[in-house]
Amino acid sequence: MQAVAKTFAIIALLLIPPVVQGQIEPIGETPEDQAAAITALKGISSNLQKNRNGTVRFVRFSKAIVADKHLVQIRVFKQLDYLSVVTAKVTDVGLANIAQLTNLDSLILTNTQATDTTAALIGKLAKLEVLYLDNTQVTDAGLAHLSTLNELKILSLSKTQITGTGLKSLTGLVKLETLHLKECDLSDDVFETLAGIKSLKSIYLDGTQVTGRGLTQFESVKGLEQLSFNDTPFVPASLQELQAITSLKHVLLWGTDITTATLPQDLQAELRGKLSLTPTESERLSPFQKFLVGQPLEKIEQVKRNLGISDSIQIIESVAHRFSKTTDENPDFQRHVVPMLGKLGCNSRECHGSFQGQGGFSLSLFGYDFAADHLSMLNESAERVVPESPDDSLLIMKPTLRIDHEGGRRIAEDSWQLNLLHQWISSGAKCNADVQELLACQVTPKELIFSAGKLVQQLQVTAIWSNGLVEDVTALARIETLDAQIAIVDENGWVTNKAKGDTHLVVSYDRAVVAVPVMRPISDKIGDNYPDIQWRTRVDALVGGKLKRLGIIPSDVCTDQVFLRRTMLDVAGTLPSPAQITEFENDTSVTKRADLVERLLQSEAYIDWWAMKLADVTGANSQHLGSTDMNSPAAQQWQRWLRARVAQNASWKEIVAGLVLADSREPGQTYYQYTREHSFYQAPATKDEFNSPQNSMPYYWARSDLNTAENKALNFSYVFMGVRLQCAQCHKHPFDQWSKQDFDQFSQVFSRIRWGTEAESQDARTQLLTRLGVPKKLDTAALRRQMYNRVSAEGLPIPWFELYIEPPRTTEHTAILLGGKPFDLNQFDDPREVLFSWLIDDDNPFFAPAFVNRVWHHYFGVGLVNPVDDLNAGNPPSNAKLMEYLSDGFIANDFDMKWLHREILLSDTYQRSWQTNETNQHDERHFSYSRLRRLPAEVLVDAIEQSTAKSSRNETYLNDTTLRKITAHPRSLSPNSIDYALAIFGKPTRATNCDCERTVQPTLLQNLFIRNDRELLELIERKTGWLAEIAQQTGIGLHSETSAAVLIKANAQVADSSTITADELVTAAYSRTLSRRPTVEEMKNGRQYIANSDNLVEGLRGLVWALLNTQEFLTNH
Amino acid sequence: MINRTETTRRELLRIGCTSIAGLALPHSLARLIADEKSATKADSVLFLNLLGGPSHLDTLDMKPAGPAETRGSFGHIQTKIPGLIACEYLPKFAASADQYTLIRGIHHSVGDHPQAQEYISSGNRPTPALRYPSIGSVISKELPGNGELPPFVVVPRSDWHAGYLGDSYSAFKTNDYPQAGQPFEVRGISLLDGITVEKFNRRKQLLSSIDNRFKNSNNNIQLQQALRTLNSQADRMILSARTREAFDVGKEPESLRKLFASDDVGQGMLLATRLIEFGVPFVTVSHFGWDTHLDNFAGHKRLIPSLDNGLDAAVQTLRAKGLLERTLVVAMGEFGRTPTINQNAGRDHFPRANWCVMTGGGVQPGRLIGGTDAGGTAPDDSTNIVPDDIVATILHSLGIDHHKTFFTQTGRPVDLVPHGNVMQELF
Repeated sequence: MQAVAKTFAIIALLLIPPVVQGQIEPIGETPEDQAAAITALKGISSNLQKNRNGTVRFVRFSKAIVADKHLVQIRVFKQLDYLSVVTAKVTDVGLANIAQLTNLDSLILTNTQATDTTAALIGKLAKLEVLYLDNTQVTDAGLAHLSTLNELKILSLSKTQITGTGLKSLTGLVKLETLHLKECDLSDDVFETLAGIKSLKSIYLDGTQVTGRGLTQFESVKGLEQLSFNDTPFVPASLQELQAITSLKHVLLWGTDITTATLPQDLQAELRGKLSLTPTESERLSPFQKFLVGQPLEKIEQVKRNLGISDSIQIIESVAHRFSKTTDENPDFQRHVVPMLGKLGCNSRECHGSFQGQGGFSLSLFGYDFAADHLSMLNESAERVVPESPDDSLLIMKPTLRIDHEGGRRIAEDSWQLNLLHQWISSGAKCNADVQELLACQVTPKELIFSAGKLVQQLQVTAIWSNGLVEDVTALARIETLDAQIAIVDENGWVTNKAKGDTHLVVSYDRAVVAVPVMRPISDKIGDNYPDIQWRTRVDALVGGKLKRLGIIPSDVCTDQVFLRRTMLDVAGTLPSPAQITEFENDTSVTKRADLVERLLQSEAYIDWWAMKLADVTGANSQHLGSTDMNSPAAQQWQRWLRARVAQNASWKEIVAGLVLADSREPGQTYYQYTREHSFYQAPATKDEFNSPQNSMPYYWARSDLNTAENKALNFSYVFMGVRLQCAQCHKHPFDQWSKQDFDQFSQVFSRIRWGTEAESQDARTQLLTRLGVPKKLDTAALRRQMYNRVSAEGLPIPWFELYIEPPRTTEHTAILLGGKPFDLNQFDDPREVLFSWLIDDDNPFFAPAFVNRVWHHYFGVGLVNPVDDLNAGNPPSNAKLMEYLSDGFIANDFDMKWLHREILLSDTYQRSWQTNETNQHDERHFSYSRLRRLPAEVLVDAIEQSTAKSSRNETYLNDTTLRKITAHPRSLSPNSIDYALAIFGKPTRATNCDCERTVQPTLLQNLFIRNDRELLELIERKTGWLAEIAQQTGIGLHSETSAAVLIKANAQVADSSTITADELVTAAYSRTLSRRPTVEEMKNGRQYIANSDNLVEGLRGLVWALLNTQEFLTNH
Repeated sequence: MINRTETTRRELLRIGCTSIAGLALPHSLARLIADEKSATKADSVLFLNLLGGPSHLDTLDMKPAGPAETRGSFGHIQTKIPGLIACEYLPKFAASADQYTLIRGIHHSVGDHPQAQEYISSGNRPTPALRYPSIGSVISKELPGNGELPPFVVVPRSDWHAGYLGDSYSAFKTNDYPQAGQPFEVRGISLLDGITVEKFNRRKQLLSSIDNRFKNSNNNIQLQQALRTLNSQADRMILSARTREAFDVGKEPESLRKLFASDDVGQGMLLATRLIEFGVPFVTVSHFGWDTHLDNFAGHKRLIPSLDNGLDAAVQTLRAKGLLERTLVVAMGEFGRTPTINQNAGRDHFPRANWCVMTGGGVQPGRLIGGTDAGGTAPDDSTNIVPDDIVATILHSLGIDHHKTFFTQTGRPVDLVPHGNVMQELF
C-alpha cells in the first residue's frame, strides 16, 4: 500500500513542474531537471547526446509516437545545439517549446505540421546555421520571420507552399550557402531573386517548373558551384546560359530532356564533365544489368597462338656446343647471358637476386628485368665488365674464383659458360633495347615413363622466338623436380628416376614454364596385369586412366553406412541421425545413393554450409568493411545475398557477376534515390528484398584491404582464378609465367574502380551529413554508426558510400589482361566489362578450373592442384585430363554448381572405401581410396552438439539450421569474437587471400578442448541433451551419487521403471557419434565400462566422452 | 665473423658432458648452465600488451611545454632517470625508472587496431597477401619446450596469431585473468568438478580400447600420428601436477602475492611471473581499454595505475626469484594517440609516435633511446625506430636470428623480420 502511494508521488512530481513552473518562472536547467527530462524521453527520442558537463546537446525525434506533449521536456535543454523533429504528429503546440533554445545551430523540422507560428519563433534563434522546414506548412509570411537569421548557411524549404515572392525575404542572409527548394511552385522568374543572394553555393530546384531561361543572372553569384534541376522542364537552349556561370562545378539534370544525345555538339567538350544527364537508351543498363538481360559485354579479343616446330625449321644447336670451341658468335643478353646466370644460381634469392644484392652487386630476382640487370653489370665504377680487357672483369674473375668470391666457384675454367661470358664482354657487352618475345618453349619427350630397365632419360628444351629463331636451350633452361624422391635432373637435362611413383619436372626458360610428367609404375599391375575394373562414370574412367598406368588398384566402393555419413558431412555439414541411418539402410532402391545426394542438395544445411564456403572465399568480413561506415550490416547483407543465391542455385558465373560487375547506384538514379533505396534494405521489414536477383553485391570492391589497384588485382586473381600474383608484384617467379610488368599492367585494369562518393554526389552527401548532425556533432565513428543504424532502420537515407568507376583518363592508359596484349583502357567506360568478359570466357584457363579445384578439394581433402588456390604453369594438376573434363563440363553446364557436386558425388571415385590395399596405400594424389580428413571447424562443433542433443533435436539438424555453427558468420571475424571452439578448430577469419586460412590440422588446444574443456563437458551434460534425456527416462538423474539401488550389472535391465539396457545405449551412442553399429568387441568394451560405472548415466557419460574423442569421430572417412 | 657450425659443435660437446646431470637439475641451475653455453640474453619474455594504444603524451612522453590544445590535463613527476618526467599516475615507475630502458619515437603508419597489433606482434607491416606469425608463435616453433607447458601463453586473450606457421604454433589462451583469492581454472587443463584423476584415467582406458578403427591402415598416417601424439600430450598436461601447479597462482607466497593489485592486470602479471618461473618462454598479458576516443583523461586515469602497479610488481617478483636477469620484460601498445584532443575530450589513433619499456633479459637499465619532436607529433630528427626493430631485438635476446628463413603454407620462403635491426644499444 505504501509503495503504491510513493509511486504516485513520484509521478505527480514529474508531471507538475512543467505546468506550474512555466507560469511562475523559467524552467531551470539544473542537473535534476535535465535528468528528469532525459528519463522522460527514454523510448521517445531516437538519439540523445550530452555535452561533457552532462547537459544535453543533441536530440533527434523520429518515432511515429512522438507528439506535442513529449516536446515539453526539451525546454530544459538550454545547451541544445542540434534538434531534429521529423514526425508527422508534431504541431506548433509542441514546437512552442523551442522558443528558449537559443543555443540551437541546427534545427530540422521536416515533415512536422509547423506553420508560420513556429517560423516566428525560429526567427528568434539567432545562432541557427542549418534549418530544414521541408514538407511543413510554412508560407511566404513565415519566411519573412527568417530574414533575421544572419548565421544561416543551409535552408531547406522543399515541398512547402512558399513562392518566389516569399523568397525575397532571404536576400539579406549574407551567409546562406545552400538552398533546397525541391518541389516548390517556382518558375524561371525565381532566378532573379536567388541571384540576389550572393553567398549561395548550391541551389536545389528539382521538381519545380524552371526551364533554365535567365540562368545567366547567376553570373554575379561568384561562388555558385552546384545547381540541381532534376525532373524539371529544363530546355536545351538554357545550356548555353550555363556556360556563363564559370564557377559551376556540377549541374544535375536527371529526369530532364537533356541527354548525351540531345546535348549540342559545341557544348559537349565544355560541359560534359559538369553535367549529370538522363541516360540514353544505350546508357540505360549497368554492366551488371546487361549481364542479367544477356546483352553482350565489351571485350578484348585475346590473341591466340598455338605453335609447334615444323620439321623444316632448322634448330640452332645448343650454346653448350657452340661455345665449347672457339667462335666469333656474339651471345645475346636476353637469350643467353641472363638465362645462363640464372641457371648458375647468380640471380637467386640467396645470391645477387636478394633485395640488397650481394657484395654490392644486385640482379633482378630470377632475372626478367633485362635493362636493370644490364645497368647493374655495366656500372662503370664497379669494373664488373671491362670490354677492353674481358679477363679483368669481375664478372669473369669472381665466378671462376680467380679472386675471392663468397658464392664460391660457379664457372669452371675452359667451360662453354666461361667462353660465352668472355665472348659477350669482348663483343661490347650489349643488351637489346627491346625485350624479345618468346613464342613457345617445347620440351621433348612430353612425358617421361620409367621402368626398372630404363631409369635415365634426357629432356630436350627448344625455344621458339617471334623473330623465327628456334634454338636448343636445354643447357640454359632451369629444370627442377617437384619431388626429388622420385626423380632428379642434371644441368644437361638428364633425368634419373629414383623411386616408384610420379611427379613433374618444371622447365623454365625466359618467360615460358612447362611441366613434364614423370612416372614409374608403383606395382607390376600394369597393362594386361591390371584387373578388369568397370569405371562407372566419366570421372571414374579418367581417374582410372591414371591409376592403370601407375599400377594402382583403387579401393572398393564403401558401404551404405559409410557413404551416408561421409556424404551428409561433406554436402550438408551434418551427421545422420539414428533414424536416418536406419531408413537409409532399409531403403532397397537401386538409386538410393543418388536420391540421397539430391535430398542433401535441397537441404537447408547445404545452403548454409556452401553459403559459408563462398563467403569465406570472397572475404565477407565486417572488419574489412570500415569504408562502408556500416561494417556489420554490410557484412550481413553480403552473407544473406550469397545465401539467397545458393538457395536459388544461381550459377557461379552469376554470383561472380554480382560481385565483380556490382553497381551501387544504377544509371539515372540520383544520390538521394540511391541512399533511400539502400536504407530501405536496412529496414527490418524490407531487408530481404536486397537479395532479389536484380541486386548485385557492391561490397567486394569496398573491402578496405582492396583499397589499391594492386591489392584489387592480387585479390581478384586469387579469388576468381586461383592465381597468386604476389611474387610477380616484385619479380618474375621462376616457376610462374607472370613478370612484374604483367602484374603492373594487369593492375591498371582495376585502377578506375573506386569506393567512395562520386563527384556529382559530393554536395548531396554533405547535405545529408549536415541534416543528421554528422560529422560536426557526432564526430566519432561509433556515434556515427549508431546514428546511421537507427536512421537507416527507419528506412530513411543515410550517406551511403557508393561503388563507382572513374571516367577514362585524358592521358594514355594502357593495361593488359593476363596473357594478352596491351590495350587502351580509355576506350572503355567501365573496364570491369572487359575484365569480366575475359574472366568467364571459355578460353580463360583459370576461372572454371579454380572453382572445380576448390570443390574437388572439399570432397577429397586434396585438390587436383595443390595448394588448392595456386594454379600456375609450374604446378600442374595431378590428373590433367580429369581437370579438363570437369572444367569443360562446368562451362558447358553454365557453371551450375550442383552439376559439379553431382558429377563428383555420384562417382565411384568419391564413394571409395577408406580401407587401402597394397598398391594404393601410399597414394596421396590420385584418389584411389577415401582419405581421412579432419572435419572442418563448424561441422565438427555442430557434430559434437548434434550427437549429444536430445533425440527430438538430433533428428532435425539437416533442415533446421537455427543456431548451427555452419551458419555462424560472426559480426566481426576477429579471432576474439569467434567461438573459442571454432577458432581453435581453424575457422578462417577471412583476413587474407588464402584458402589456407581454414585449417584442419590437429593442434594441442583442440585435443585439450575435446578432452577436458568445460564447454565440451557441459555440452554432454546440458539439460536439453541426450544424457539428461536418458537420466530422466531411467529415473537415475544426472548427478546421482553411487547408490546400490541403481548399480547395474553388465547387460542387466536398468532400475525397474525403465527398460533401457546398456546394450541399447552403446548401440545408440555409436549410431549418434560414429553413424554405425558397434562391433562385437566394441559392444563388449562399452557394456563392461557401463557395468563398472556408478550407474547407467555415469557409464553413458564416459562412453559418449570416449566416442567424441576417437579419431573416427573427428574425421570424415 | 663467428663460425656458426663450429660453435654448434662445441655446444654439443658441452651439452654431451652435462646431459646426465642436466636432466635432473633444478630450474635455476639448469639456467646457469644455459647461461654458460649460449650467447643468448634471455630464456623468457613477459610482454605486457597495452591494447588500444596508450596515449604517449599522457604517460611517458609528456610535453608540458607543448601547446595547450595538445597538452592534456595530467600533471607530471620527476623520475629516477635524469631528464625523464612521467605522468603523475606512474609513481612506481618513476621511483624505479633507472631499472628500465625507455624507447620513444617508435613509428609506423598502420592506424587500425588489428593490423597494428599484427605489426607490433610480428615485426612485419601487414599485407593482405600473407599473415605473419607473432613472436610468441615463432618462439613456440623455435623453443618448443617439453610438452608439459605450452610455450606461448596469452593472458587472457589477444589477436596475436601464428600466421603462416600454422595453428600448431598458436597461443595458449587462458581466456580469463586469475581472481585474487580464488582458485584459477584454466581452460582444458584443470580437471573440473566431479572428474577425478581416477575417473579420467578410466575414460582414457575406455578410449584407447575403442579408438582403433584405423589402427592397421596407412590412410593419412600423418593425421593419425598427429592425433595420437597430441592426445598423449594433452593427457600429460591434464594429468600433470606440474602443469596445474604452474597455473595455480594461489601457491605463490603471500609476500609476493600482496605486491600485485587485485585487478585483472595485476593478477595476470602475477600468473605471468609464475609461468615464467615454470619455464614458459613467452607470456603476454593483455591490458585492454586504452582506445580512449571518448574522454581520454578519465580513461587513462583509470588505466595507468594498473599498468604502474602490474609492471612494478612483476619486475620485483622476477627479481626476487632471480629470474629477471634471464627474463626480458616488455610493455607497449600498438600505437600512441593524437596530440590533438578531439571534441569528445578523447585522443584518436596515432601510429607516428609510440613508446616501449623494457627491462631484464640483459637490457641495460636506465637508458633513454629515441624521442619525439617538441609537440610529440613525430619522431625527432635523430630517431628512426619501427616495430620491426623492437621485434628483431626481442628475438635476438632469445637467441633467435630474425633473418631466419621460414616457408609459408604455399612454400614461399620468407625472412622472419626482414626489415628489422637489432637495437644493439640496449644491451
